[in-house]
Amino acid sequence: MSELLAGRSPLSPADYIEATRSLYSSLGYDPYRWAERPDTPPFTPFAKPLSDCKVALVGSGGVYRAGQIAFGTRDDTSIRVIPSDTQVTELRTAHFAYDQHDARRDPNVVFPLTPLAELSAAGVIGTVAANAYAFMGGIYSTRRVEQEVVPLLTEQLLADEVDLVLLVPV
Amino acid sequence: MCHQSVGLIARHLEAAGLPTIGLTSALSITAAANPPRSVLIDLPLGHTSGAPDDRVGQRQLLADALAAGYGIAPPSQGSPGTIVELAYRWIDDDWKANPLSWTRASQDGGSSGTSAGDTRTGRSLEPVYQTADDEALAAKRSSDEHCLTCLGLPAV
Repeated sequence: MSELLAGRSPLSPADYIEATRSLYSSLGYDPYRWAERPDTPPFTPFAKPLSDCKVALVGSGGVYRAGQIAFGTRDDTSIRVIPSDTQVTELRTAHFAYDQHDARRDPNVVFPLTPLAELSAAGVIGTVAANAYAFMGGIYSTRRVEQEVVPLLTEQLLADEVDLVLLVPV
Repeated sequence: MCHQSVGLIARHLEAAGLPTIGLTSALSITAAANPPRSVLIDLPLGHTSGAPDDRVGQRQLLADALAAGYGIAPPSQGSPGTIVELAYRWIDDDWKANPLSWTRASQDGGSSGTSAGDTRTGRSLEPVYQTADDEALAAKRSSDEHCLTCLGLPAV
């Protein structure tokens, strides 16, 4: 039986800013200064119906493919190219900020290649882009995210001519 | 931290002309980073796209998330920065009492285990392989050529 149920929890959504503040306080650290971007975010409308979109998966759960160099867990800003037809049994994880047990049993819980392929076959989306991208998102420095991860990823996704980027943080 | 990184990345991709839909299981972090289109999936960390070995549930969740994200279409529907909450929940609410400490072991009734959350310690600059076989395979390939599908690594 799955642990995923339909319907909303009666409790409010988990608040990780508060939980992290509390954890850091108990460990004697100063509060982390979370990025706040209160301006109106950049917005690009979709050019096609969802059923025609070429969709690229980008996941931050530290997924790599067997044979690739794994991620370091300390501010590693590199990216792994994962061909979208990779068997999920070839996927591995390297991360520090979540329990990887379930992701290692079934990588689709953080890197949903299988359901994405199924939705393409069912016509819900158009196609799955040939490449998916993975990185280890637990990077403390927003400067390094914006200066190191963003340019590489943007260049790749523009070259891949995708219509929709599906982002899956962990 | 992952959610913050992804939120910021989404903003930059959109600025470059790439439409995004971001899943999130960390509402407050995503709201602060303020990416253009987000879909809230209120499950324990490590399950942003569903529960393990649940093909049907994962597929339905992703279909719902894509539909919800695609539906954020200002000015008529929503505005940039909208976060839509999907109607999914974990099998119990116990994890919400201390969301950073959820582990498979604690879920299955074992010891509560050490926190899987971000304790800032134990992080490594070196690759952390899931298995020794992965490390051996990567080393074998890297001896011939640097990992060609690893972008942004320092040159050897």
